[in-house]
Amino acid sequence: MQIENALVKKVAALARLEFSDDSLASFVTEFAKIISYIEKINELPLEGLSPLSHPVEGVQMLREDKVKGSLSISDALSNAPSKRDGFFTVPRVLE
Amino acid sequence: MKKILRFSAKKQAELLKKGEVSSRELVEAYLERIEERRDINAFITISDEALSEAKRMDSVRAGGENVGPLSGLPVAIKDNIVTKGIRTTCASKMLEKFVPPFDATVVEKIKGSGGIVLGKTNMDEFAMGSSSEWSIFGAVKNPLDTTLTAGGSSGGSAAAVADFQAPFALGSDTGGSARLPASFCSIVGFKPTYGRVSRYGLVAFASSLDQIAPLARNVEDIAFLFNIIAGPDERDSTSIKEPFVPLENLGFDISKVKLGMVKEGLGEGVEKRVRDVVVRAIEMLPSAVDEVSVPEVNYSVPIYYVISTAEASSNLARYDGIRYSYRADGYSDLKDLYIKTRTEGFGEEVKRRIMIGTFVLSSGYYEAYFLRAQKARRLIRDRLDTLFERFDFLVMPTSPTVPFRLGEKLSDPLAMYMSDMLTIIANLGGYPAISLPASKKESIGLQIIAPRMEDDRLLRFAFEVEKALSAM
Repeated sequence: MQIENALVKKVAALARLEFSDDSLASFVTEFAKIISYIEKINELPLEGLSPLSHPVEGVQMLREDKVKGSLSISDALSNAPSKRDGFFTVPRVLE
Repeated sequence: MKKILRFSAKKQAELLKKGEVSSRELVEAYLERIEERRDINAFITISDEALSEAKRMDSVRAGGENVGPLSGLPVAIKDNIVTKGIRTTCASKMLEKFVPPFDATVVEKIKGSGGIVLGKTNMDEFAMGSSSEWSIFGAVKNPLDTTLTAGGSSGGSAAAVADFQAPFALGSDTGGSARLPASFCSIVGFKPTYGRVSRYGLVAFASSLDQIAPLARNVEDIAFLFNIIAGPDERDSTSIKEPFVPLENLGFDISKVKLGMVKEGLGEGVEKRVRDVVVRAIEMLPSAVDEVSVPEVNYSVPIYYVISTAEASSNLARYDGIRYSYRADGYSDLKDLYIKTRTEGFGEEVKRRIMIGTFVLSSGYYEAYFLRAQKARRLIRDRLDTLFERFDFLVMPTSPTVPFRLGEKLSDPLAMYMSDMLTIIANLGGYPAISLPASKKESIGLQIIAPRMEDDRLLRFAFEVEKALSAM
């Protein structure tokens, strides 16, 4: 398929990434090459096959639903770039 | 370099147990070796606590207590496996200052068995790469020839082990990331059956493919480390429930084994030198060999780059600049904070893969790309499951090429991706697979793949193969 600048910009917005105008052109060329290579999958006979999302199908490991300790607030916040009074801080989202 | 560093991990543990060497002496010898060989760039962080832990082990042992099978032996850990109190960066600016508040299950198990975390090894950023060059800390160099790459993404772990900077190491393997560097550094790398080792505390790349993988200089040491880290874990819902029975005796009647030699692993895109060495190694074995065809091998790279990037784009959404990662300056609002943080915090290859993954999952393209790749994944698994009804193991090279030069493939992502063409099928189907040196002269790995849950038969067989090849 044809990969255009607008499509790449749209995907970048979904991924919360940005490409400068300078870097966009070369990225689009490379991206198009990779997508066209991926399309090789279309040569395979996939009729009637159900998708496989996981190598091991079956019942997963489950545990008792018991209350247990977890990370303390100070541990959970220890790597936060910005925090206050036991909370992560973020830019204002409500006016 | 101290002579003891050349001994196997098993032998070093025995000497520790007998009191012929102390853990402190051993850790000091490793720290000295690492310092001498800084140019290899195998480690990102050396643990500040390694020496004090060693002293503590020595005094516990002096008190007559059993410290566990590792007996105060140090272990190198890839920097995408979290270690409490020791920075865990994934070789990314995004996590450059991240100090985990907890240990991964495998790290807990190593510590509980008397092991010491020596340091954290260099890698491709978030394990995305095949050469260990995509690291903000610089490329890992191959210790056997420093103009070459060490392979990736667990290149730091492989280089450390090959260069006697650690007795053995943990890496991770999503599409070949432990087996490929093992092949490039002429050591052994083992990807267990999916789910046999807990992923709790392994920084997620592609969750349905990721598996923690031991790297060592021989099969016996691989089994030694695997015995310690394997088993069910209630903190990883994808871990296998069946209890793990540790391997006691290696060795196997190799003459009754039926091997399937994968034709496509010796075909187009595979260097002649690699083919010749691997075929010669296989022919050396007393096992019966038949040629088999797995045509999907030629499609494994495209399938993998849809599935792994899709899962990665979802997993890496957590790096938002709010909770525990890098945060950019100068943002105007919350969305701008996300965009600036992620654009500055992720490197080129990681961004490329997030973009591919976001694209194949996006509305309008999901069916054409992601769903098709998942169907193709079933095609491969069905093919291999059927082959395993007739064959005990499948064999082929680990890497289509010998180790390439530093910088050679950095500007050509597709050429780099092709490095994984022979290792990916094991991850797509969840099979255990191992890479062993097939030659004493060149860094070329022989790969052996086994049915799911037959890790123990695979290791026992590999032990015999290693013996047969070393007699060559």
